[in-house]
Amino acid sequence: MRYQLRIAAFVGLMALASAAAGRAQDAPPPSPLTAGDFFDDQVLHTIRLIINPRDWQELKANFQLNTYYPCHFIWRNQVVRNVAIRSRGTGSRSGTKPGLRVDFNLFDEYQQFLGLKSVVLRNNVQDPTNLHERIGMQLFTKLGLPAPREAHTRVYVNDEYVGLYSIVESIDKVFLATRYGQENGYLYEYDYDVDDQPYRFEYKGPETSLYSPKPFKPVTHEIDPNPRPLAEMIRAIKETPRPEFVNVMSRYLDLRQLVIHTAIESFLSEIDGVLGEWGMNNYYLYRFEGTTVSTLIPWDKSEAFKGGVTRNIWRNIDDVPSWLQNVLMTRTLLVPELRGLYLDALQRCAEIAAATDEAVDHDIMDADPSGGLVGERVGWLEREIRRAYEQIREAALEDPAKPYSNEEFEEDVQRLIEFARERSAFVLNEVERSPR
Amino acid sequence: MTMKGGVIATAVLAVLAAGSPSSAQVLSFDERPTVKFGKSVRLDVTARVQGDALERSAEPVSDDGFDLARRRIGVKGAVTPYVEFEVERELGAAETWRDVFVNVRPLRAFQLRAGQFKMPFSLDQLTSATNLDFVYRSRAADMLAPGRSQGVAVHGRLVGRMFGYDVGLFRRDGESARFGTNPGAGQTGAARLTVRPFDGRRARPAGPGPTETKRRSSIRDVEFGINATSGEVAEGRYSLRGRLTSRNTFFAPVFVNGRRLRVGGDVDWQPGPFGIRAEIMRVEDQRIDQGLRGETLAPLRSDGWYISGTWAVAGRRAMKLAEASRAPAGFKGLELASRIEGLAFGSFAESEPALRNPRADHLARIDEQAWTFGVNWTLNRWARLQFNAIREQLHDAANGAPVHAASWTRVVRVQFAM
Repeated sequence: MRYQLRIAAFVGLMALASAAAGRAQDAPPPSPLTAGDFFDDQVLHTIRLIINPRDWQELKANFQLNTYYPCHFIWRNQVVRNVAIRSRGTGSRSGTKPGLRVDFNLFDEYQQFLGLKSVVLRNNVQDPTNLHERIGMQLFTKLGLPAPREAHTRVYVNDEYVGLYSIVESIDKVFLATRYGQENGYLYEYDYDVDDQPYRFEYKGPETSLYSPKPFKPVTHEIDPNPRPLAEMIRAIKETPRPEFVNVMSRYLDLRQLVIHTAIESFLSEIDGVLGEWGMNNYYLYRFEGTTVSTLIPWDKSEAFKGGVTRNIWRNIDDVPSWLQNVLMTRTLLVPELRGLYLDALQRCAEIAAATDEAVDHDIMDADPSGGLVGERVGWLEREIRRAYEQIREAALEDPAKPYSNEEFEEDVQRLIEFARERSAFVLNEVERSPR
Repeated sequence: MTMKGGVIATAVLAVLAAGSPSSAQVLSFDERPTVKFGKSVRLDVTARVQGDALERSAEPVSDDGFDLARRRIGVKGAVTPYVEFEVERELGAAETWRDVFVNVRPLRAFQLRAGQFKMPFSLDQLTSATNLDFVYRSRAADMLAPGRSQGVAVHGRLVGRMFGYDVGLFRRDGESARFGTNPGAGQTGAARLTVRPFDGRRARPAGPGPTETKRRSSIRDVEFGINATSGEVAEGRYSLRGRLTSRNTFFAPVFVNGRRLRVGGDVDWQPGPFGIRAEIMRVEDQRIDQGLRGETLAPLRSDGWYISGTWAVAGRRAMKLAEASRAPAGFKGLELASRIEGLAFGSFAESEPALRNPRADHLARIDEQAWTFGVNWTLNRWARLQFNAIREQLHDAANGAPVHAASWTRVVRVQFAM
């Protein structure tokens, strides 16, 4: 009997094992990782860099230089060899917590990581919350404007935790291909250094060299950047008679996109954007293939929210002397239709930020704004800030290289939440008061 | 050599000259202006101007057009039969001292040279720019051979001209290895041995005829050389680099640390109107602790070689006449030249696929191959015209590396030297 029981048990176990094996064989293979996974902001990522210790010290010591250093890049189970990193940034350059540009294809022209050629690891040293950039870009995306994807990550260098960073999608040909379905147009980075003379689309003369490579630095077609249409656009901004302004400028620029872009920055109290306090900054200009029409792409929102809750929605448009006004925006907003669009976009930003119902986010015009602004329910902007805060808090507190204290981190997050609670009401009030 | 050193050297020469009674000064101009002070002191003034007219097929580069490649002036001479000297300075934007040295020659077999001069490595590098068969030195000699440095060397010839030696110790690596912030190797030893294995043969007393005599004398000109240098390179991105004739870099320096060892061999032969030269060299740079995790990497190997040939169209004797002529020598000085050469950088390690980053264990080999076709026309003893057409192509073994198209460079050089 015992012998029979043993046989029965053995047969039963074998049956179970074969069934389990069969299920395992039937299970679909895990789906391959994508760039979407890499920029998934629902999780706090971990990136490990393996770099020669001497190189890491040298990169930090010479953080003002753009010298590349080789490294291995590790994310999840992906190990990418033959990768190059360098210090990056303008005002955010740091020898303590360097901002990093990661190039997957510098040493091997054809190497990509999840379809990406490069990525930025932003150090957020100018933003104690670490959240401005990510939240700001989310609002651009919600308004339907192409913007770089972002997520937060812990960064380890040679197994040592070096800080909390933002993973930022590069504005390059990959970005152009995924957002516009083309990559062979002319991409320029607006290149503003701290010592540069502020620029606000003033016409400086017909020579193209007055506009590129400074301040419009070619990112594609570097050898032949063809800045002629750019120079012509800037001349048209100045010289086109008012009645023809929209028609003429539409040959050069997507004016509606420009207005919405600027409205979003205005809602975000951005002090270093198109209407920045020091002239223009932090955007790319992309001229579509085979045309002279360009569009703006947002970049670096670390200075967003810093203008505060009560920053005037007409800041640097009509509240400064004419020589401090942005020539393009001033002329654009003289067009009633575009001025109306500016106010509509601001209103839309305010309503999205205050929306308490996720469904409302997608069609804000149907929502009841009062529901999101009063009562106990929390608006989208505050929800996003809280969610991101919870996600990064521990990593931020443990960040050994951040140039601010843990108390400053907590206080600034609190201020950001207050901004989220109060900005929409302020903006809606200003929109309502503004003549169209 | 610092400016100060050059000035001191020039001053010493001036004092020597001033010390001689003026009545003994004799000025002559044969090949170049020469001043003799008595029987024991001689000063030759040397000058060299080379201008290049360039055209390249590759992407537009700024040096298309006409360029004064070299403007050098100097003095050389002797004080007694036992002391020789040479001072030469490059003029223009790249103003710098070139050769500044004293050579003491108690015996032909034992001579001592001190100052700044070319380290004894590479036949092509040791050939004066005035006497090159081509507008540019071989890529190997240009990129891998050390060139000038400051040091002392003993050298001489033994058994007639059968054996030659040149052994020196230098303060640092040669100028070719020092560029930008790259210091090259530190103190470097260099040695070169040459042998003319047939030079010691005695001529047969009764030659069977002119043909046999010529064959016998030609074989006596064959010279073989071997050379090596050794020095320590500090830790850093201090390896040698690879550049095309356009000066576009195709191999940027990688991280090295440790010994830099150069070895090379060459052969030179001028049978009748023909000239044949070949040379091969390798530079091996250690990369101690240079991996991403501090591990030691496979050494960087930089290899170069060339084979060149010339043909004096009107014969060697006519060529020598042209080189000595004061008047226009017509087509006596016409020479055709061709060279094939290679220059490659890489390392071999089985630990990883071939990569192209400065800390890769397995550095993907990148190889430049070039052909040069040239016409040299020696107009007289001072003037020379050279035309070269150079075809260069890169072969990159890195994974996914692009196929590089061949590029052409056409250059005409006008040279005046005395």
